[in-house]
Amino acid sequence: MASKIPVTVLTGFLGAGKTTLLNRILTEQHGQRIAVIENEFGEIGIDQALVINADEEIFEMNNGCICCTVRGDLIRILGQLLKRRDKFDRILVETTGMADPGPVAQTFFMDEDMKAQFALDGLVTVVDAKHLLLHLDDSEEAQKQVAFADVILLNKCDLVSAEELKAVEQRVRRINAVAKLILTTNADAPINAVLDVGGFDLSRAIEVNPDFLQPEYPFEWAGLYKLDGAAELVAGACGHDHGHDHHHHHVHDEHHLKLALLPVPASGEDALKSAADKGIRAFANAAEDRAPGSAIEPSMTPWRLELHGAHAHFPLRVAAPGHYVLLSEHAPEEFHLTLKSADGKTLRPVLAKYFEEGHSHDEAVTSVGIRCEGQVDSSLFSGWISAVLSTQGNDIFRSKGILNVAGRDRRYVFQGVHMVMDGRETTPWLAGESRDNTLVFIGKNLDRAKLNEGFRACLRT
Amino acid sequence: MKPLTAAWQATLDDYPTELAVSRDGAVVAAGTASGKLQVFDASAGDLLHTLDAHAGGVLALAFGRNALASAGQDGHARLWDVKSGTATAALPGGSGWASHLQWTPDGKRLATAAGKNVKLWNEQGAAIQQWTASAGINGLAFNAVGGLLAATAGAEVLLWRCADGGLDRRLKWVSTLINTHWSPDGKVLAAGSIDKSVHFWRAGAWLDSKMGGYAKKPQVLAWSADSKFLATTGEDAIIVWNFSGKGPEGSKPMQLLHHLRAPDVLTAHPKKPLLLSGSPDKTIVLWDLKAGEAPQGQATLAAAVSALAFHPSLAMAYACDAEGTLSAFWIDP
Repeated sequence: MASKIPVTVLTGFLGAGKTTLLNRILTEQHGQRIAVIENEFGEIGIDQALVINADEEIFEMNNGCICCTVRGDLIRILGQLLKRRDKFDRILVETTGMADPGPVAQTFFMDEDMKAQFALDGLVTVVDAKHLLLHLDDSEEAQKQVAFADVILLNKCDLVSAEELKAVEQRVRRINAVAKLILTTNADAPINAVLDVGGFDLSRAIEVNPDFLQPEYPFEWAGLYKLDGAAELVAGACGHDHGHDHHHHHVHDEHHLKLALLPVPASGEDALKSAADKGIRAFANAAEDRAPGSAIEPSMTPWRLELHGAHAHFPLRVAAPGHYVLLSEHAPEEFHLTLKSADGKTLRPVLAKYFEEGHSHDEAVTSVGIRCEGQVDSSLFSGWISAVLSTQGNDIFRSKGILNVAGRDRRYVFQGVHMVMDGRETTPWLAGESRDNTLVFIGKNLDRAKLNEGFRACLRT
Repeated sequence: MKPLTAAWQATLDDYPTELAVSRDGAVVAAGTASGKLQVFDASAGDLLHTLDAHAGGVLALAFGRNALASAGQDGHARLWDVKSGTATAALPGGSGWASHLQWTPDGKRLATAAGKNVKLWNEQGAAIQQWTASAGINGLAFNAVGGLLAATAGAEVLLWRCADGGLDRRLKWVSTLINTHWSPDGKVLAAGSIDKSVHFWRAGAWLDSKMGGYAKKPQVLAWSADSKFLATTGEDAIIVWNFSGKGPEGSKPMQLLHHLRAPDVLTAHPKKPLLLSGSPDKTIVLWDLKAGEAPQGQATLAAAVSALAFHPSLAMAYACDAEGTLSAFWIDP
């Protein structure tokens, strides 16, 4: 059978830089003939390109279920385009900012004809660094476009400060921990980073940001400080609305904050990491209550600070000057948490790190990653994954995984969009290679703990 | 079964998308992916005209009583006088591809669809009615007397009255419908759905009947001239429902199995109960629906079959392949 024609889907809100990218793809000399199916009129300035306008028409397989929708206009147009097979090498589907990427992606999994002739290569989402946070708060489509993406172009980076950019990056990562993130100013990403992504190609290993697969930490933030002597911790109850970052606010006890202080031998990433690992054990111990004014010391016992009023002060007692890591249950900005030296100056952490939140349930769109050793029982796994996708498929936008199946010498790789899933064995495990299982779910209302638990129950003991 | 013998062959300018034979049997016209119409003498195969019909490909082609109508990716439909090889009218569709067209059975009026818009024209190209559906049109069909136009849009078939433009009724299903075909006697309206079923409604009662069990969506339907058989794709075999007597309810369909790969082109003879099917496996097969499930003739083309047509009076049929060859075959019984 002839090789399938790759399809790239380009999403993003109006003004994000989608058209700039599209025009670049079409003008650059990459030796590929590209047919473009676009939904926003008259934006492409390339005369010789084969450009077709479409209607973003949703076909329903069954009333009301997003998992069963496909894009009828694509089926019709691509069906016709097949007849011009000799005239192009690749399809690029541009969607409007308001489009749900689900039906587009499902078209290439659910419709037999499309599945037979085309291969979805990847979803590329262009977002505007300046306006993304606003869009994400306002629009479910924006969240989905980030969540579905294999590649995210964080564009117009020149229009935001380094801090704003970091906040945007963190927000994007929180939603989609596995997409390739490219920072651009004028949608000037390398073409080969956008085309031929292999986002749905089972033979390519899933590249997952290793940070994302870190163990689950019971704290959200760690800061490494250099303390020369006595210091003071100042924190306030979170009594007002911060407006700008609603998404950081979860339902939690606003009048208590749990934290731990641990000594580290030196400064540096490694010290912070080892303190964080140690902190997991410390946070497992029963916390000791601390009223304002009472002292906090380095200890494997976590402290539970009582916070009433705007600012409560807690003296920090350290035996000797040196480096210490403060682990906080919540991000410091949520409690206006700062450290001050004896002479009242604000102490800034030498290093700080945010951790994937440990809470188990999140209304927002987010990613859940699972990595663990062990041999997967294939029948337990297929029962579990089909139950997960059939009951939560509406909320799970993308799922991916590489599994070490008991008794098999090759990786089993799967990939899904909502309820539809595709999986097969790919490359062999090498001798001496660590046979880790890696799974990623991106969606909303994901129950991190339950997914972890469910997957672990598929392992052979 | 015997091989179908070739009568003549011609090479087209590009991939053929559509094929139509004039009602008087004088000419056969092919539409191509590059937007050209090529008109041939139906019996001898001489090329009579090559017409620049559309910017972009030809999407639909059909002969009326006198005129040939074409619709294309440029969003327009056009009327042609095939004797002189000239365009007689341009029928603007709107934005989006003009993807469907259908003549009334008497060939005097024409319906065209582009996107969600449907228009009714006379054979001189004057607009008579126009309608807008809530979703893109996936099929058009006139009933026997031409009074009602059926248009599939989304999960329903809309029935419009040609006389006053009114909406006569909506026939609903829960999943998107992808085509619509009225039986030649006007008694049954059939439509395929992407949920791998075929639906039909009997005019008058309008109760929905569903025929399921397809492996794939039934993309192509064809009624036999006597309205007794409805042939459908969606399986390796062609599934044929028998509407004579009590009808297909509760009955088992005929299964015409001969192609190596599921056929995706069907055409029914305008007068006889004959069916021609084409497959990506390059074969065309002739069937006699009255004779049952046995194939009556076969030919192999140079590439996947893209379009088929019967001659109305000569024992001849036409087939196009993806390489751009138009072949005429003798179909003597």
